[in-house]
Amino acid sequence: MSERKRQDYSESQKVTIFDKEFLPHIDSMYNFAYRLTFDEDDAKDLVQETYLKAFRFIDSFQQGTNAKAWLFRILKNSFINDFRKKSKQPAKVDYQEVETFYNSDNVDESITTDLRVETVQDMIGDEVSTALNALAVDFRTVIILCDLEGFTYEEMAKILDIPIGTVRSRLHRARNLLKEKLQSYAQSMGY
Amino acid sequence: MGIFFTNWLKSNKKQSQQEGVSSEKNDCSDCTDFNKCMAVLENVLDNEASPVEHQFFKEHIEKCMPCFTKITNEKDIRALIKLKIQKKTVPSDLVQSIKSKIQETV
Repeated sequence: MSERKRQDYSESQKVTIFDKEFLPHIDSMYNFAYRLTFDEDDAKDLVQETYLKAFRFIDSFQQGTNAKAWLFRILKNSFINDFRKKSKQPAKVDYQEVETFYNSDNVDESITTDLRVETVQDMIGDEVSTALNALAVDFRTVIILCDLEGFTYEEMAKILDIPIGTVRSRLHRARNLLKEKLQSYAQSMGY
Repeated sequence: MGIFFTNWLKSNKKQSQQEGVSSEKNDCSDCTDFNKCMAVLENVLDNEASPVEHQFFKEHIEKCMPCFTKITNEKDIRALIKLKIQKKTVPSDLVQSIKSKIQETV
């Protein structure tokens, strides 16, 4: 994604690209930012910062290519490199969860984490959102990108700067963790 | 099943082991191809499966009830989670605020 040939857009072309190709993704961008920061003001600042960067570097964007993936990549990098440091609420990281992931040879990784459709059916949105938000940021991110935003593995690999194999395994692990959280939450609520 | 698919399964298994993922556990004891199915299932669900994988899985679930049930359940759970995750509304002044800042730079 960083290998793109530089363009030389006129000012009016830049504004057109920005309005027609970048701004239509603001809804997804804001939701992604909110799920990273858990704060409406922080999410707003992060999205604004991302769009300003996108405009500043618009000559490295090729018109008609995947603007959404490019914007998500900028937002993710802004969050990691700049935003997390000055955020009012630092990203919540469950270190035990991350450690378990990176040392997971002896962990049950089967896809068959037991979760019935009826369990999720009975939950309200808040409960599902809470379970997603409780995941460490790396796991939360892949679920958002794949299951909520519909990015392909290849796009996710480019957005996150990781190999496709890592996308696949991280996603697999994230889904199992989410299912475990939903399952234990359902049990505690007596569903 | 072609040599390509066999090699893919081997490399996928190797990759999975490197990433710390194992699909060895088989709790669908009625399925004779469980490991293969689990390796392919997520690709199918995520629209990442090759035509060979699609064909394998399509034919397999026609004769394997545990895997048919599994994929149906997985599909439904993913759809439900997507449906239940609440969307935040973009603040009404955000677009204007971004455009104003850009105007300052042009």
